[in-house]
Amino acid sequence: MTAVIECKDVKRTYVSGKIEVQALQGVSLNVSAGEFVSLSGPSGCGKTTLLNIIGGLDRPNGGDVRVEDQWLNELSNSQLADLRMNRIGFVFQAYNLIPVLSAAENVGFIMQLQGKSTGERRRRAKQVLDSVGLSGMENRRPAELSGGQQQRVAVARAIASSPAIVLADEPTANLDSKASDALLQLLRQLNEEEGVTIVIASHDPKALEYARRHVRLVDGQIHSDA
Amino acid sequence: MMLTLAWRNLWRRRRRTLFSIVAIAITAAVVVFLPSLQAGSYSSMVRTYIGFTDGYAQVQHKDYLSTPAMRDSFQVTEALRTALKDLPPDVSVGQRGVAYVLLSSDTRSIGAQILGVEPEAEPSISTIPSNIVQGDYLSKNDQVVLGEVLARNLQVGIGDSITLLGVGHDASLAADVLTVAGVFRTGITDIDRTLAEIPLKRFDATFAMDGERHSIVLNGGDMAALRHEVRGLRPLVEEEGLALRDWTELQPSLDAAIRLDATSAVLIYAVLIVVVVISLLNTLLISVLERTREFGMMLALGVKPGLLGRIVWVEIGLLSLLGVLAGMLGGVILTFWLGRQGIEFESAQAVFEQYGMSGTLYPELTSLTLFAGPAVIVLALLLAGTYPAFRIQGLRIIEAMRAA
Ligand SMILES: Nc1ncnc2c1ncn2[C@@H]1O[C@H](COP(=O)(O)OP(=O)(O)O)[C@@H](O)[C@H]1O
Ligand SMILES: [Mg+2]
Repeated sequence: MTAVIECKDVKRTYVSGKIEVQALQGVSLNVSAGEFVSLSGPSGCGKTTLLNIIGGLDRPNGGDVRVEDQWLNELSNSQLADLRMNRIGFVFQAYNLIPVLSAAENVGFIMQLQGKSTGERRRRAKQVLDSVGLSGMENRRPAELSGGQQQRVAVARAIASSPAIVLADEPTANLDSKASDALLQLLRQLNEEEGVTIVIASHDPKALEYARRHVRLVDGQIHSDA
Repeated sequence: MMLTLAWRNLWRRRRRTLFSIVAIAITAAVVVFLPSLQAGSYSSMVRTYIGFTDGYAQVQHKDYLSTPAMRDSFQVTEALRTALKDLPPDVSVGQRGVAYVLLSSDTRSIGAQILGVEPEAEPSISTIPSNIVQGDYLSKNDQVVLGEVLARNLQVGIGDSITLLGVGHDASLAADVLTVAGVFRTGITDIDRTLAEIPLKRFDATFAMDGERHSIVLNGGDMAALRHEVRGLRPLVEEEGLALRDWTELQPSLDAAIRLDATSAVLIYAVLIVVVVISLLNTLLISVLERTREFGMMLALGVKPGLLGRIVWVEIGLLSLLGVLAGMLGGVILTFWLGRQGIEFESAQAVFEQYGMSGTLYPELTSLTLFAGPAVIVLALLLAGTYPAFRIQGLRIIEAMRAA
């Protein structure tokens, strides 16, 4: 089976002032469809940087990334935006949702960008919100939901338009342990039942329990992969 | 979606938005009401000025305006007479002859302008008949009415005789003896000092006019109707080889004064709008920049920077539309209310009266005064809004999402 994600010797250096930080020092990694991969490692080891580059939010200084059949270096910014919209689901640590939109509208937001009809959006939003355990909360605004519920809405949005991969960056960082467990359980369930490919960056040891493949980064390099 | 998003974003900061709307509304109300007040004062000024003798428009010999000479006259053709007769009743018409003469009483001789008028037509085209302060308006063929200052300078009163000396249409000597029937006061010194009116029939005879006229005056209470009728009449008048001149040509200095006043007012409104827009720009910018992180998230989801910019722009557009609509409503209500009541300018009363106007102004709403200012406000805000929109479009995702 060919990989949905292929990282080839990815390097990323940040320059802030006179200090150069080598966030990624040549990372090569393949992820196949249907995998549930955790990306762990101490704070500052480059997890977010790697996810951002895989997700087309940032560009590497060296190496390249392929998502499905597209090498990201070959894409313009606008093509990258389309790729993110159509093929990648994101779940961030916080500020995932648009505060003025209801849960259902947030879930339907990307579908709306894709030009899907109102009816289709509503149906799909309800279905996906049901599947993440938020039946009946369609019309709540983010502020009316708990942190755990908000993250579920973010997950629902990420999977709503059937992306090739879901990238989650510290999705449990702001949650208590019960909500963390529930969210990770949800991701696992989506992975197992719907075959969603998931890469989750987390330094929360719990995340490791739910993922089936563990990639550990240290100082911008892959330290272990099992 | 853009509209929903923009609308809801607007009400996230209710108080700030309301404050902005109020600021825009007040500005819009000001730029509706004050120009309406100006329009009202202009039209009352114009009405007053054209009311004395000139009328709204005149049919003249082509050369008459630049050099008002006795010989620059014309015959009223049958076609023209018919067209004038067919004008609606709210347009009044009067024929005139004009001459510059020497008037003499027993003691004095003074140069004056004589209008030969149709006494029965004059009351509906001129305010001279209603401004008679002594005696009566023309009722007999040998009568003359004089401006107040002219009568005083000639040292004549009602019933006195004066002699007239001038040059007739055929270049012969024109002489006549007239009886003073009345004295009028317009408040305009120029008119009161130099103008005299006699019946057109008498004028014809005295100046050997042989039916020639110097002008046909059109006037009435409804300026819009007048404008319309004058436009309709023009082709025929020009076909006759004559000129149809409206008040802007008859009273170019009045027109120029109004234009000057309007221009300086427009500048002041422009400054007001610029000041308000610049002070709002700061608020707009804050409201956008404080959402940097949210915008970064939206970019991450695949929203194109252009769309983000448009969302911000629509938001600003909505805000300005709300404010401007509220302000227009306020301005319209104020204008209509005061348009019926009138605003008394007691301190300016004396000045107004000098120009033959009352001290009460009636604001007048026109489509220009209603829409021009508010439209400029919306445009200025949208223009200002391009800056925050532009800032948002330049956002780099990674940095935006790291922003606090
Ligand atoms: N935009 C940036 N500018 C400068 N340095 C950055 C930037 N993003 C990340 N870094 C640095 O790169 C390194 C890796 O960061 P990151 O990928 O966020 O690590 P992790 O997510 O594993 O905590 C850190 O040293 C961090 O300070
Ligand atoms: Mg991180």
